[in-house]
Amino acid sequence: MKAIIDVKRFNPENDSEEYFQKYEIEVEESSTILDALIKIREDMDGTLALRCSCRASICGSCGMKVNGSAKLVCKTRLVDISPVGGKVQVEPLGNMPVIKDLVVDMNPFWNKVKQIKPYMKPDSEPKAEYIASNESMTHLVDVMNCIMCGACVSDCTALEVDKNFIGPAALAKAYRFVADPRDDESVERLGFLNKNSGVWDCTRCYACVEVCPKGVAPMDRIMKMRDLAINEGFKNTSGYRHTESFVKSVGKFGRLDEANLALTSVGFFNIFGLIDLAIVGIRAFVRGKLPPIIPHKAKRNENIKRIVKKLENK
Amino acid sequence: MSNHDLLIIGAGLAGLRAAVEGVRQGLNVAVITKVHPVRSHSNAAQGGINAALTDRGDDWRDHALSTIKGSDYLADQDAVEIMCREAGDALIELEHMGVIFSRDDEGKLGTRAFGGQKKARTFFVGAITGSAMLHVLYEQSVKYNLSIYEEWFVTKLVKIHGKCVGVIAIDMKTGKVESISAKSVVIATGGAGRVFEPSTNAIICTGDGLSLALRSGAELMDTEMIQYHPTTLAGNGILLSEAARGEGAYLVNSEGERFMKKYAPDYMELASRDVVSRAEQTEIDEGRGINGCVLLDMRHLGKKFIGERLGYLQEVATEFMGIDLAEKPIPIKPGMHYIMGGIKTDSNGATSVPGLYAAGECANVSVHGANRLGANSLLDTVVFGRRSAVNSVEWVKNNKQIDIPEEILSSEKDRFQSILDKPSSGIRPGKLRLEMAEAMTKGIGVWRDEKSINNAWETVKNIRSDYENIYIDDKGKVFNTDLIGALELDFMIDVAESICAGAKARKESRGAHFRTDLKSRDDKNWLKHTLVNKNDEDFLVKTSEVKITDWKPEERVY
Amino acid sequence: MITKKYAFYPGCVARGGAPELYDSSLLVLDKLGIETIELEKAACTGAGVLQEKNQKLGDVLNIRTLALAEKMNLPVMTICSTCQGVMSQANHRVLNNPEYLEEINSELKEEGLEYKGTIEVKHLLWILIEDIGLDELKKTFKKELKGFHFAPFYGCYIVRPSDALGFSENPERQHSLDMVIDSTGASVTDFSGKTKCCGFPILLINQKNSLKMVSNHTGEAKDKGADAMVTPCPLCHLNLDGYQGKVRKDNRGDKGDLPIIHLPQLIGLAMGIEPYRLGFKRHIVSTDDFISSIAPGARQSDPQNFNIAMLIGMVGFASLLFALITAIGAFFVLRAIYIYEWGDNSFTHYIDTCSFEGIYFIGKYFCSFLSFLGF
Repeated sequence: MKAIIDVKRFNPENDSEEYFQKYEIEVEESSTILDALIKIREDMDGTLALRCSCRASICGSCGMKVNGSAKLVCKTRLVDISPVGGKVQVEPLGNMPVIKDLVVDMNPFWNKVKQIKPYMKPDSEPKAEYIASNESMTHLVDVMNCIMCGACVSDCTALEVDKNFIGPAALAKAYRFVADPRDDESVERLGFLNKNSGVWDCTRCYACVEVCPKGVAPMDRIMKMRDLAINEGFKNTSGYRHTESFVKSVGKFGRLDEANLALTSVGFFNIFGLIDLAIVGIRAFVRGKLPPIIPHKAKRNENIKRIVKKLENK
Repeated sequence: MSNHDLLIIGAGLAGLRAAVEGVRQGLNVAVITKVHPVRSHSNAAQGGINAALTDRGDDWRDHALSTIKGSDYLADQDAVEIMCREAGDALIELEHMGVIFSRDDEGKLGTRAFGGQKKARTFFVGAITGSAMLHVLYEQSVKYNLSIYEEWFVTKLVKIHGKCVGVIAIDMKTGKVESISAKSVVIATGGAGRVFEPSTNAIICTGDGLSLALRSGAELMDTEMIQYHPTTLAGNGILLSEAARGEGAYLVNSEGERFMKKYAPDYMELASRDVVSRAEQTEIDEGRGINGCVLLDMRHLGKKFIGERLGYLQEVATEFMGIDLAEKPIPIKPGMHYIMGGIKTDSNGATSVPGLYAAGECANVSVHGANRLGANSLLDTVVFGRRSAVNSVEWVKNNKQIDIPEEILSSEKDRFQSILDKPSSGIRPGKLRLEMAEAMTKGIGVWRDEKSINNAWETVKNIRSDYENIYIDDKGKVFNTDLIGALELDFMIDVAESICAGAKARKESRGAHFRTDLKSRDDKNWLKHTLVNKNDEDFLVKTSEVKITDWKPEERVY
Repeated sequence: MITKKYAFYPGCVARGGAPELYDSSLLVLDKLGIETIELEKAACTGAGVLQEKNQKLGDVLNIRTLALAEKMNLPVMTICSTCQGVMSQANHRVLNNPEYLEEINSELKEEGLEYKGTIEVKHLLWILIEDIGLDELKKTFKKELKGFHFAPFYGCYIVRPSDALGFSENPERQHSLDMVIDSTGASVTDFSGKTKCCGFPILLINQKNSLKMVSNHTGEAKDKGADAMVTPCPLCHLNLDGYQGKVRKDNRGDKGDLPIIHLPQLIGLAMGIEPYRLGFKRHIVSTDDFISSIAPGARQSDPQNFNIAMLIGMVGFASLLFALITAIGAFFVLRAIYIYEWGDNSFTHYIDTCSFEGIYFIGKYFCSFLSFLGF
């Protein structure tokens, strides 16, 4: 079948800006986008630069954006992306500088990974193996499935606005150590990740979960680390106050008390934050958009109260 | 020009293990690799790593016997003894580094059964053992702040006064060609699967180190020993781990029969890989295959079990074949997977070139002989990776730093330029590679004979002369994958010729080298290694003795 | 006339910070002939925040909502992307794990509820396409919006994670908002931010990052020629509308004047409903010019808008109260000083002395107070 692929090109030696180049190529029905790109490179245009290696979704080299969303092109079939005649647009991964064509500079990615101290830090080593339950090791397999392909980092909406955010891949890697019973620095790790553009800067947008080709679900790991950090007593964050206030509100009214949530999240001693909030509040009030001071409740909410109380105290 | 005590080419398991050891030994170490460490093909190893743990009452001698029998008695038994003896420590060290090996009910390291062994001593992480180990070694490289020349392509090993003194390499990101001097060099470049088509190997497995070593005067040993893995997908050749059979999967022909009982009634699906591959090929050739494949059936293992222990296999089956392994059997066939042959080293990783060492798949100690047991390769990499680094310490202490002359660097640069300057009427390198690889698979497959080997070699020689007329599209400097591909092809032609030379020379069948014109094993004349040397354009073959210690060669029955 | 009935789940914000969404939804549903019964006993979905702390609690509360709907034998309609996403995820989790569903049902037993797994949760956006159909929807349109450009902003939770949102069975959901905008005759302004995050979840945690998102998305849409942005999520609306003015000026130096309208408001405009009834006056970013161009001459102000009067009234009342309290307090303070100075409890004497001497003594105390402060 014929495939038409629009590839974003950029050669720093020749080009002042990026542009799209259309390639038309004959491929098999079952061809993946990588198959097509390699064929283009070998038969049509040897100047096309891309990274690829294993072709079996285990090495993580071939991360690219396909129709706006990051994927491993070795396991993305052309027919799945666009039925005959549809658009297939391939670009390099996002949030990282482009070296050439589809090759990005992954140093920002690796530096973030290095930042979280990605190696075991045990207090002592036994003579034989550490004793650890199979459950604890199997739990880590999901996170160890991460092949560091960069898809999550490419599409992370928080990284797009803040290059300092540690990012989903490094945070998922951090979780691998926090959750490993053999590592003895979980508390220190959580302390570090609790601030420093760490776990609380995630917007919970699910982009990383959606694009991860290996089911690592980085966002879920970040959420788990927020929880673990709170359990270790790291409570001096607006994130923590926000979550607590939310749960309390639902426990009290069955619904969200938006005004109180805003106040408690900002913090009662955060003068500037409060002033900022007040300005927005007045503007909202004037338009009739201010959430009611006395929040609306769910009708007959004693059941909701009971459920919240029971499951929160477990 | 940079210089180091120890320069390691390749950042897979063997390379990184050697590097970590080098740092621990206090050397100035650097790793030079054409891809980021975690992209190395070690990550594709799935099934597990063998080790005999004595504190569980396991005996390393039993592991050694299985290995030697698996090698069809071609392995050097002293090296096998070392590997099997050190396996326990190597495994525990990996676990301490953080590898998340599977556990038994008591929380201790758990095992699965694997090919060619009666006792289960394969330690694993789901079906991603190689990846899990590689990532942990990468973590260690971060911990030790290892110096890495990332995405640098080595084009030449430099020898001065008969000693290896460093390399010439291209920095792929900028196109700059540089010389890096090192007192000792470890080649850990892995396999050469791209010399065949299809292969389970990655696109980067082009046997660079084998050719680099050959061109420096080192020998390649037993190059004819090419492992065809029994369970690979038709078409793209992607691997489905032996772990499936280790966990109880069946091999079934078109008649629904578990045919292995005809060929290996004792070990069944867990016979050595060459035996199983030949069994499958026989079934297919005799008309009991389905579209050139047989079936791997693991429905009886259940969805939950497959998800927990063989998750990556399920992923590959679903993504590439649209098959749910818990619902349907999957068609597979023998596919080129591993080269037992490689750069001849002693059991400390030293080659015949002073200052040059090798470890991992590219090396041949020999521990795998004529056929490698599954889960022995991961062991090989860490044991001999470590040993080669330890061995280099002495050499580093006693040898001076030698600068690489400017002429060698400029002559390499001229060589690249001449490739880039070739006219556009030429042939694309990819086309030549495919032609060569298909011929190699046809001529040196599961079955081979004098005629097929000659045909393959003839084709390779033609490819070598056609190489003079290749055409490179990309004339630029930045990330010129076209040029790199051409240089890799150059290496691959050397490797292909070495394989043909070895195959033609060995006049018997042993292990993975099965000649339909010489079907039996000839211990009297051929209990020997083949050694290939490159002399200009000629590939000369000698032989050498196999080291036998405690295990006398016997008839190999599974 | 299409007759369909749904259990209506408006969500907390539609009843709180974005009441115009609630009002406009009801108007549109009425015109579509859709009957709704509001799930008044239902709890907040948790918006992902609650799930972060205690996923099981979130799931119990959401499955309870679905159980309430199941009791009425009605599918659930949402008007908020976040509510949609959170409830879909909870539903997806229990439908794929019968043991988990049993656990959750054991918490609902006390209230006499049990979820059997038969309820579908659908956003109004999907209902328009799947249950009503765009052809039928178009029949209710009285006004063509041709020539106008709308930038769709989906809201994360109605597009991710796709396996919980039924995208494989209903692939058009991925483009649902584009399709609905298109059905009104208007043009869709495509822009890269349309399925990205609006920043709302981190507004109170990392305001800088949150508002940068607002600036990027509204700025990009404006640059690409959008007249307004349409969103099916009131949380996105609050962030994109509430903070746009300030943040566009700070980040891009341009005017943050892109109206952010709710999906039912768009439908309402296309249906020819008077703008003043759709609550546009409640938006922070003014919609006056936009509405004037879509519906020239139409009434924009809600005659019941006495908010400013209310504000003045409240301020006035508060001031009076304050003044009264101050006066009473001052009286007692001064009297205490008087008694201390003169020892006389007589009220008439107190009034007499509230002359020059009184002021002198107040001054004396005031100066001591100042010297205490260090002046």
